[in-house]
Parts: sequence; C-alpha cells; structure tokens
Amino acid sequence: MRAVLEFFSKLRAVFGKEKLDRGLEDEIGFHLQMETDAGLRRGLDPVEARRQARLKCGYESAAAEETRDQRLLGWLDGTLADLRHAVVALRRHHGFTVIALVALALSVGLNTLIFTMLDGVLLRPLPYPHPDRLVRIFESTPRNPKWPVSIGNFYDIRRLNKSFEAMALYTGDDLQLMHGEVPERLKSMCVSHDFFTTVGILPILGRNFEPADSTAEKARVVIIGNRLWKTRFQSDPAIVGKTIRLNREPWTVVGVLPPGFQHVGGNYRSPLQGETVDLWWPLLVRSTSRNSHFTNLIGRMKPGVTVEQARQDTQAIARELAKIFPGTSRDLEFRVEPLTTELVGRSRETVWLLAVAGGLVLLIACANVAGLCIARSLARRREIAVCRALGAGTWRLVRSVLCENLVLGLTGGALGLALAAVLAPAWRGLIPLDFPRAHEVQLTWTAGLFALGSALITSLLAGLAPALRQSRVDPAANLAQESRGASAGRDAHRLRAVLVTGEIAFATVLCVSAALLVQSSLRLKARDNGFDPNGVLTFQVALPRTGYDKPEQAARFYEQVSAHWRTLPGVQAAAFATNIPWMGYDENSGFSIEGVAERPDDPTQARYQMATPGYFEALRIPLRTGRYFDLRDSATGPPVAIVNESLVRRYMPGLDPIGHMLNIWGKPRRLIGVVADNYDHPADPRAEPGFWLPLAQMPMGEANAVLRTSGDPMSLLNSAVTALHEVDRELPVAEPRTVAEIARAAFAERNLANWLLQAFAILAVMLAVFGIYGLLAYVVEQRHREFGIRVAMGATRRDILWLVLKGGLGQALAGGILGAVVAPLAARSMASLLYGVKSGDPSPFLWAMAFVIAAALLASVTPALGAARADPAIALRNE
Amino acid sequence: MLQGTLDLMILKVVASLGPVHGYAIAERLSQVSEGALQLNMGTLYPGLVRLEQRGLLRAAWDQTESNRRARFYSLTPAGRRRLDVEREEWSRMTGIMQRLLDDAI
Repeated sequence: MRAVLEFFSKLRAVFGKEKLDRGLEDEIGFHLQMETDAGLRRGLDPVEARRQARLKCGYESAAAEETRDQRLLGWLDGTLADLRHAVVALRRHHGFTVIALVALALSVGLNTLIFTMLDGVLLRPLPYPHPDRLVRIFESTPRNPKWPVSIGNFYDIRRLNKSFEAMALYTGDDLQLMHGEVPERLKSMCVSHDFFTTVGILPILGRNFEPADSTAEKARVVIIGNRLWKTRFQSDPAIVGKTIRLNREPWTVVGVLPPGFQHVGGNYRSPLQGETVDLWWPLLVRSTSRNSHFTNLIGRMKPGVTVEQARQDTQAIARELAKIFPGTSRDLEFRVEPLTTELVGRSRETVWLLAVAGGLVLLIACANVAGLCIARSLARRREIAVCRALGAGTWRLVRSVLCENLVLGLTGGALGLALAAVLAPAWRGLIPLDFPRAHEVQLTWTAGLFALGSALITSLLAGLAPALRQSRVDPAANLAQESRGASAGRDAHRLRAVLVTGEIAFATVLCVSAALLVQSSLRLKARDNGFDPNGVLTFQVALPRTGYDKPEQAARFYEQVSAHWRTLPGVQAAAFATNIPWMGYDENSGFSIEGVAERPDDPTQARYQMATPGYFEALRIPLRTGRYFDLRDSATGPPVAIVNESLVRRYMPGLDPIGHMLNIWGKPRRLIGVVADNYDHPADPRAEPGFWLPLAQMPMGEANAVLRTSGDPMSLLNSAVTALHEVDRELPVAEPRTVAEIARAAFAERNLANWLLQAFAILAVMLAVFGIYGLLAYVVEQRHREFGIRVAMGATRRDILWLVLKGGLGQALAGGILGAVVAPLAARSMASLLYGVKSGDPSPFLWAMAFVIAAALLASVTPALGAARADPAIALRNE
Repeated sequence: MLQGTLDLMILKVVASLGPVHGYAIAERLSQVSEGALQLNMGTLYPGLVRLEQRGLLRAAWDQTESNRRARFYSLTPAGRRRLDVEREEWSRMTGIMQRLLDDAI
C-alpha cells in the first residue's frame, strides 16, 4: 500500500515537475540562508558566512539534484526524455526509419489479416453455451469412416449412454414458402425435438419443439429464423400461432429464434455453420430403421466428461448393439468428434499453413530491423563511448536504444494495423464463401492488440542485440579505434551476417512452399477432370409431394421441361440430374453384378446418381464405350444403368462390361454405357466407383437442372425459369449459378493458400534482399580504404567487383542451402494441399534457390559497383 | 548512517518539536548530538521527501518567527504509528546489541 502511495506521489512529481522544482529551490535556499544568518550572528562577514554555511550544509545544486532524484520516478522521467530523444533521432535518420517502418508495417499488416482468420476460424469459441461440450457423433466403418447415424441407433445411444446431457438429430430438407407472389425455396432443417436444447439456444418468441411434434405424422409446425422473421414477416410480434404456406400446405409458426443464431453445420445434407438456415421443422423419429442413414447426430456432453470418455462410452454401446443385432450392426462403431474440429475440418491445415508462413515473414522482418539497428548502433559507437566515458550507466544506455525500438514498434504496429484495416474488406472477399466460419473473420480489437503486440515484440527483439552490445562498449578502445579507422565492430558485423543468412534461409523455405503449391495447381489445371464446366447453367428444383406423389408425374415434369428448354435459342443440351460434379457428393449404395461374386474384403458399393437423357452431353462427360441415356430409357422401358470407369476397373476387371446385369435396389438393370471418371473434389487422388440410373426410372423430388449454351449461361436463366413455370407456375428455383462457378469454388481455398504463399514468398525475398543490400553497402563503406589500396597495388575493377559479389553470393548460398535443408519439413506439413508433387521432388527446391540467389546477386550489384569505382587517390587522401 | 536510523531521527524530532522546518530539524539533531551529527542538505531533504511520499510526514508552507517563508513538516497519524513501531524495534535491537556486546567472550 505504502509502495503504491509512493509510486503515485512520484508519478505526480514527474508531471508537475516545474512547480515542485521551484519549491525545492526555495526550501534549500531558506536552509542556507538560516545557516548564513547564524554565521552572521557569530560575527562573520557575509562572504565567509555563506562559505561556512555551504561547507556545513553542502551545495544547493547537488542537494537539489539528490532530492529531485528521490522525489521523481527517476527511470520514468529519464524514459520520457529518452522517448523524446528517440523520436528526434528517428526523424533525423529517416532512411533507417523508413525502411524499418515499411518492413514492420507490411509484415505486421499481413500477419494481422492472417490473425483475423486464425482467430475467427480456430480460436474464437463457437457461439453456443459451453461449445467445448458439443460433439458430433458418426457411425463408422473402415470404408465409410463418418456416416450419418441411423434413427434406430440414435434411439439406442440416447437410451444407453452415460456421457451425454442431450443429443439430437438434424438433416437438411428445404421447404417452399409461398408468401406474396413469388414462390421461394428456403434453407430448412429437419430436427428432432431436443435440437435447440442440445445446442443450448431456445426461441425468443413462442415455444421450442416438443416430443409430440416428432411423433405426430402431420405435425405441420415450424420455428423460423430471426432473419426470415425480420425480412419476410416484418418482425411481426404476433407471428406465433399464425399460419404460413409451406410446400403448398398450411403450417403453424410456433417459435422465432434469437437474432444471430448460427446453425451447427455439417458435411452431409446440411448448409455450412453460420446463419444459413431459415426454417426448422420436426423430424419424424418414429421409424427405428438401422439401415437408412440420412440424419446427423449432435450431442452435448455432461459437464466434466471428456471426449475420450464419450468415445469409450459409445464404443461400449456399439459392442452391445453388435451382439443384439448381428445382422445390421455387426461391424458397428461410433465415432465422436468435437464440433469445432468437425466444422473446421481440413481447412485447419490451410489456416495453420498461412499462420506459420506469416510468422516466418514476421521473423524475417525482425531480423531485418535487427540488422538495421546493429548498423545504427555501430554508427553511434563513438557517441556511446563518449556517454560511457562521462559515466552513463549500463541500464541508461540500453534504455536509450530500446526507447528507439519502442517508438519504432508502436509506429510500425499502428501503420500495420491501418494497413490491415484498409485491406480487410478485400481480404474477406478473398476468403471462399464456403470456408468454415468465414463469417467470423473480422478485424476485432483482439486483432488490433495482436498487431501492436507483434510489432512491439518484433522491434524490441530486434533492438535487443545492439542494446546489449552498447552496454559492453569499451570507451577507451572505441575512441581510439575510431581514429584508426580500422575494421571495427567485427562481432557486430558477424551477427549481422548471421541474421542475413537466416533471412535468406526463411525466404527460401517460403519460396519452396510457394513453388510446391504452384506446381500442384499447374498439375491440377492440366488434369482431365472428366467434364467441361464452361458454358453450363445450373439451378435446383424440389418437387413438392402435392401434385407429384406418383413417380410418373415427376418423370413427366422432367421430360416436359427439358423438351421446352431444348427449343430455347442457344441451348445445346438440357437435362436434370441429382448431382453436379465437385459439389461434395457423398451418397453410396450397395449393389451386385450378376455372374461376378462379391469379394468379402471389398463389397460392391458405389456412388449413385440419377439423370435424364442429355446430362452427359450437357457436362461433356466423355463416353468410353456403349451409349448415353436416351428416350428409350423411359419409365416404361427396360431398366438400364451407366457406370463409370472406376467401377469397371474395381469390380469387373478384365470383363466386357456392356450388357452385364447389375442388381440395384432389387431390380436387374442392364449396363448400357461406361463414362469417364469424375472426382468428388478436384484434388482427389482417385475417383470413387459410381453408377447412374435414368431419372425417369427412379424419379427423385430434388434435382439440378443443367443447360449447356453457346452463349453466356447466366443470361439464359430468365427464359429457362419462364419455360419451367409454363409447366408448373408455383415451383421455385434455387441457387442459380454456372458450373464454372462451382468449379471455381472447388478451387477457392487452394487458390487462397496459393496466392498468399506467393505473396509471402515475394515479401520475404524482398526483405532478405534489403538485408543483403544493407550489409554489403556497409561492408563496402567500411573497406573503402582497403579497396583503394588494392586498386593502387594493381587490382583491376573486376577483381574488386568480384570480391564484393562473392561476399553477397556466399551469404545467399549459405542461406539458400540452409533453407533447402529445412524446407522438406515444411513440405511434409502441407502434404494435404499438394497434388501430384512429392515432397522430395527436387525441382521446386532448385527453382526456389535459383530465385533467391538471383535476387541476392541483384542486391549485391549496386554496392559492388560502388566498390569497383573506388578511387585510390581519394580513398588514401581521406586518411 | 543507516537509512532507517535517519528516518527514525527525523520522525522523532518532528514529533517532539511539532510543525518544524528542515533547518530546525538539522539544528536540533546537531544540538542533541553535541555537534556530532552535521546533516548535509543532500541527505536531509531526500529523507524528508521520502517520508512525505510514504505518507508519514505532511508539509506546508508557512511563516517563521523571523517572517520568512519556510516549509513546515508535521507527523501524519500514520507517521505517529510508525514512530511507535520504530521506537519499539530500535529498543529491542539496541537491547540485543547491548547484551551481545556485554557478554564476556
């Protein structure tokens, strides 16, 4: 307490200094005057009296100085002075200041942006109460490690577990809203009644779902999202209990969710995590099938239960179920993943890659500023030696250097933050829309603190080495050395050379990583994807139950609309299909091939899709053998199927596939054609086996339209929708876009990593080049006299030029080799982002080293030319 | 001289003389010690400032009998308590020292 009191009293003293100083002088003056008066009274003359008084009491100035030291916070007072001094010095040496500030601002600005991503995607907790207790649960087999959980198994886990407080099912099932004139398809989620209890957020208006909602066949009740409530229902406070028209039937609104409620996301039949869902309706959980897998399971663990305990608990349940139901649950296992891990998925690696790359750039900038500081400290050596000789303490000298870096760091941090703020909108635009938690990437005050903090740490770290050196400066040696003009500060120079080598090594690592990514994307671009995304328009339709409850009705609809479309000008092919390549398709089914025995270790299973005639033509999926679907493959025609090459390779090796009969869903279907493989994602190493059935023979309510046109696909949208409405006036279309857009989106995350790593690599090389340049320029200046002598002794200009270039090249080679040795580690850590490049492939390494060394040579040329121009006469006369 | 000793001396002088200026404190110490203690201003004033900062002394400008402006120091309640504690401690300490030194070795 007393210490605190003293501190504040001192703090006041620092800032109210002048007034206190006058008081102090008065007080000391009074003291001396009293003593002098006493002398006068003893009969001394005034001069002698004052002399004696001073002898006895000390000199006023010394006393005032000591008292002031006691009164003020000595260090704070000194620091303020040092800071003022630092600002003046930085302004005077603006060359140094500008380079250091640019290095700091660029690296801190970029790192701040990366931090907003790291923070938003990985660090910030999900917006639910106790998000760490939320987990996703999957069924798991060796072949399908993450399956949706069947409703039957959901019942059993919920009944038997000891680890969960609540658990709920959800699955995407869009509804069509008719409110006003235009039909609209809304993102909707079908959930078991305890979904909101599990997530931990309840409706703000009305009620939550009740168990009865999940069991009543015709419970037409819906909870609506806040955004929909605001935009379509004008925030109607009396909306609860009202009826709205969904899927051509009346539904009752029972609740409204709070603003900002975020859906939990998922990879299967679910939109992304975020405010992506408008309507929530009860999932019918009466069926207890163990075979049908279309529902996602989310659970909330009890407080204190770890994910590992939950895993063991569910595994025990799986073993028990396997005993009870050996038929369906023989190999049943459950997999439990924390919700955050599950949401971020493979993007975690991208985020960390960027964060580490950004960190390397920051380190390079730090080494760069450190090099500059060392150069500056060498230039100040004489000044420091004088200070030392006059009695300045170690701490004082260190402080004066650190103050400069403090000012540098704060300014650099502020500039970096400003840069980040300017670039933030563009940065958010760069992040793909389907990047997990992309909506959370924002410039928050945490990011601001990060910017200032990282700039401060960087610049203080950079100032540490020179500051500590200052404290060891030996005044005698330095003052003497300076006059000799000899090669001084050798260890400082060596430290600087080490820093530059480090910069080059880091820059090489970044260049290798960037080269690996560039090579991957070149390989991917050259890959045959098995379809042509250009010139194709697509959108989704979902046929409601009403009016389409018989399969023929749906088949007729698809046929009529496609026929209409084919008459539109410019349309080359038009069709419907359940799926478009690269949209993250993952639906599998077992089947059997007549005459081919199923291997026990590799059960026949394939991706299934349905398409109308014209689908393969519209996407230009090449036919390998046989034929495409055509009008013969109608609802009444003989059942047929088309398969892809992977299926033939895997399950029918060495056979002529055409004409074989496939048993699919209890019906033999003739194999009529084999088409090229499509991959689920552009960078997948191989395609999964897949088969297609005619949509007319297996009509599905939801389908994607595909229209190939010779012109701009989006300009076709209006006439295509009009043609569709001629067949069904009330059917909305959803998510219109071009297939080229889907293809771009599939590459977006990879491209982001690609661009950023290239930008980082270039920035890193730029900083390293600055480093080499600064070092060599300094060396040349120091050895100017030596070069003069060499020329006088008969060295040619070329000799001198080579001498300096050799120095730069040596640095570059040392750093480059060091970097190339470390780079394979980096390459291994980004393995999941690489395609078609092995981390041991030498060519990216060679490219990167060549680039770095070329840049280093370029940086050495100017100082080398300067050295070569050394005039012996001038150099020697300067002595 | 130990810092604590100087603090205790100052506190005691201020306690017995009431509001008093720096010169009078120095004079009083010199007088009591019969000239053995000659306080330099560079020792006295930092000491006074230190005690003031710790809230043990309070200072105010006032007129002396000879109509000069001077800074008068007086004890705060905390200073008075501190003086008691320090006095106690000092007696204890000197007692121990005394016994130790009297002990025939």
